[in-house]
Amino acid sequence: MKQSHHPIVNLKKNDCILFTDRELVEKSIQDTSFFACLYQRYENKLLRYIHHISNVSQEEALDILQESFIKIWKNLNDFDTDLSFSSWVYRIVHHQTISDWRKSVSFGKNKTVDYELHLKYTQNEDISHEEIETEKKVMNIINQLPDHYKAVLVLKYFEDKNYIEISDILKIPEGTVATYLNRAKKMFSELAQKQHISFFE
Amino acid sequence: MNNFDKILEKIEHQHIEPTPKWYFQFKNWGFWCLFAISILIGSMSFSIILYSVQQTDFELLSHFKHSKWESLLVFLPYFWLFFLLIFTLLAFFSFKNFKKAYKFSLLSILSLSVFLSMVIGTLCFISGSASFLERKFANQVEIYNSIEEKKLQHWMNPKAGFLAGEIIDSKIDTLLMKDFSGKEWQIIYHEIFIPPILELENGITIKVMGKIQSDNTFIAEQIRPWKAFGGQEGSKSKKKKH
Repeated sequence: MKQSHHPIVNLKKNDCILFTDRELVEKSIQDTSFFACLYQRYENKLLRYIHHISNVSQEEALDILQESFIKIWKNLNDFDTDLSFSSWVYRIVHHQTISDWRKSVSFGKNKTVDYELHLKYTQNEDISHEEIETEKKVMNIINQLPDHYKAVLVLKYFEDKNYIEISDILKIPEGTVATYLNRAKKMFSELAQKQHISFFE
Repeated sequence: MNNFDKILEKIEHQHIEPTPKWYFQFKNWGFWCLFAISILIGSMSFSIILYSVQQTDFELLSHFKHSKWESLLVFLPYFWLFFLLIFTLLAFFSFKNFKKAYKFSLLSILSLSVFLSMVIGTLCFISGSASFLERKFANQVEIYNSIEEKKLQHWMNPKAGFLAGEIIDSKIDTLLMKDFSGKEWQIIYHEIFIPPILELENGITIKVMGKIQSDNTFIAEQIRPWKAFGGQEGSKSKKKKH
């Protein structure tokens, strides 16, 4: 039976909090209003994540998010209830971002990014000039790390994910997450030392 | 128009529907079935490799002109080793497509595939199904030479010093033996090693190593039973081929 994608129930933004992610997934298949709730719930977090792992512009990040949510829509019936919805969407967004990144020659490491603008997009609250400067330095070093080290550092320290969640998002064993994280931290410290950058002034 | 509206518009415009649940279930079951089948065929190959090793006449190695290692290569069951490799890799590939496979390291997935094939294969071998499977396969596939056929070919070569057949008469130091082609041979033996389990009586199938003396006389240097544990009688196998 063909479903209409027009919202049937016009949910208000505040009504979304009444439902868990899992309930919203189940209801989304019948009514896209619930799918909108999922989008609203994760939009900022995912945009921030896309920016952190790829250094793309806001327009490009929105495009990636669009493509990711279309994939999420297509695969709603494949959502594994053993997994948290958050890990599942991060996984899809991660793969979409990496895939777009590889396609685009001008993407990523060689790109100069306006961090102040970048942080304005990715942070909700007002941030001080000092915080912007620190994050600029951190991101400059993180961007010099190999992709897999970069991803675990961002997920752990910017997205506040635990080992199980990182394992689910990147589809690697938890042991590998721990190994990558240790190596990434070591490499980060070495790069910071080489560039005479200290975060404990 | 906000970003979600654009998503909605794209979904509407391109008529994108959520993929039905049955498709994902079918895909998951497909990978489970592929895994199970690969493990079964891998196990079967492993059991036949064990059977092939068991049937190998390692005592022959010292009689070859080439080095022992070179001669050993001749006996390797390449066909089944190739099968084992292919189906272990296929099992590995299908396991990797399971939803939770990423929780395991590549090495543990590979080890599991190999371990399962070895355990089930060993059980098949112990139960005696390896020789049955191998003969069935040989009957079905024309170009495949069974282990038994290869063994027969090898032992039907008196000029090279290898002869086998059924004892039809036994006297002191002399045997009358009919080889698998029906030719009668006089086997002369004197002070040679004969395994204690072997009784040189009428109806027993044996293999003889030694030298051809005349058209129907063979001087034996070693006499051994034809049948290894779990193997087939040469004469029965030959009858079956005709």
